[in-house]
Amino acid sequence: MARQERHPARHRAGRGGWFGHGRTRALLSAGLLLGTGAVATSAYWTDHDTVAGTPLRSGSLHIDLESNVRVRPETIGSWGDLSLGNLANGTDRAAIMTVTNNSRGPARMSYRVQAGAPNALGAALRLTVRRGGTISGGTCTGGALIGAAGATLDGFDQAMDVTLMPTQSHHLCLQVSLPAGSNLAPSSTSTVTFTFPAKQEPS
Amino acid sequence: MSGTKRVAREAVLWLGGILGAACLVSLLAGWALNVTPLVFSSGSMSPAYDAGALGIARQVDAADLAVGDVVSVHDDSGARVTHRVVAIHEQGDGAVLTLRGDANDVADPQTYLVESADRVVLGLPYAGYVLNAAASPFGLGVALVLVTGLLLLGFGRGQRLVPVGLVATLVAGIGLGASGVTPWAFTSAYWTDTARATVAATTPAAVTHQQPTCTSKQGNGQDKEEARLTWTGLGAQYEYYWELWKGTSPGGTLYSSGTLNPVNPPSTVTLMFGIVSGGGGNDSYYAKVWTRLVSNHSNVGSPTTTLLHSGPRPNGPNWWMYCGGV
Repeated sequence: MARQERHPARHRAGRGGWFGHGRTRALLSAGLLLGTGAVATSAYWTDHDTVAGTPLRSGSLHIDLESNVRVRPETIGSWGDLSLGNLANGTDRAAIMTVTNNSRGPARMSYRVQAGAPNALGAALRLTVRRGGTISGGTCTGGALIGAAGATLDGFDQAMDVTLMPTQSHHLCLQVSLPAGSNLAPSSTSTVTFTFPAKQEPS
Repeated sequence: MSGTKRVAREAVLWLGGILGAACLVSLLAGWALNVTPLVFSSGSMSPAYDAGALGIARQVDAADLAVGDVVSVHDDSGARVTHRVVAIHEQGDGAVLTLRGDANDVADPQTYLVESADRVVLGLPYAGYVLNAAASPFGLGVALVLVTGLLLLGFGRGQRLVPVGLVATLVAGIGLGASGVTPWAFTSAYWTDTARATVAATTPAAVTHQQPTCTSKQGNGQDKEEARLTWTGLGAQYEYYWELWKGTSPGGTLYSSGTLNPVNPPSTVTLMFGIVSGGGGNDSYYAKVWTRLVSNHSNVGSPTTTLLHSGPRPNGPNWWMYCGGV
């Protein structure tokens, strides 16, 4: 009995004063509110693209062409839909390229359309890209024009105007033209490369 | 107060105190040492840093960066990106960094010009989930309830200090966050992927012009027309070289020659020879025409041959060409 009576007295005496009864710890715990409040506000206000508290995303990003699914790295060595053989001056050729977001996880995707072609023939070629366009006699019509019509193909680099959610596709009408009056040696060759670099966007 | 209640009170106070002290220490350490904890919010640095990992980054000068470092920088849109350095090009006081996520096959679409960057020196798997949860509205609510309870435990119900302290703490926290000085960051570490398609392109093989059509009228008096050779143009890449020979094909002597400019189809190329001196009546002539490449003036294929003959033109005394041999 005697020990039990003495113990509270010793306890109070040991801490003493205003900071007794765990007041230090209670004050320190306010740091938790300070920290989380600061982190949350910072995430909302300064890193405006990233919002704290949203699910952390794991998965992978996949941009696919045609009917491919999660092919990586993806290179269609000879895209059969577009025929650029025997290109006489003043010729237009067009084909539809399907671009699909086959990502795992909630990965909204932005991408660019780039094109390149070497040699004199490549320098002469012109490109018109229409998202959702249709083919009419070797030319693309309708849809949304991406970049300029009849732009120089080599070095073409345009951002797609809208992003793709997972499982969504774009049908891009790609029109390649060799202008009338081009001065190219017979049997000139080139290889046209269409590249679609994709980047994950905050959902 | 019963023993159980006292133990619970002590435990909660210790928990809150330690968590709060950790927050304060991390804030102070961040400012003092230029250290930034980073929450990886996607998996593009997997497997080194999975989504939900907490990385500890320290700010270093661009000159101290090396290929292979994992650095955190801001992209053009202001979002924070944490990827591995694959190339460095020094530029003035800073450096242009090419970054690539470990899980990405291709480098980031943009390069980053930096004078300093946050280099990740330590990674803690899953710890980011805790911070992410704490910074969510639910986590903030839990922290608010916890801190309120602890302050009440520590100071008692009667203290007006408790609500004042809570509001002050919240205002201070929001102020710190909004001012952007909080040494914490969520980093997107986005994924990239690329796909490409190639198509072979060729222009038609070399072609030569067709056999020219020759028209002329060898009538009486003024009713004459000189020989006119025409053929369909082959396009901008072809020119035409011609030779007029006096004599019988394939012999004789070269009388004149020249080059005709390119003509795009379906327009036609026209070749006329004009007055010939010393024609002396119905002499034999013939014209040879080659298709040539504009690019190097080399002949394509064999020439065409058109037989001609000279004859008096109107109002003599000179001669010009008429179609056909003598």
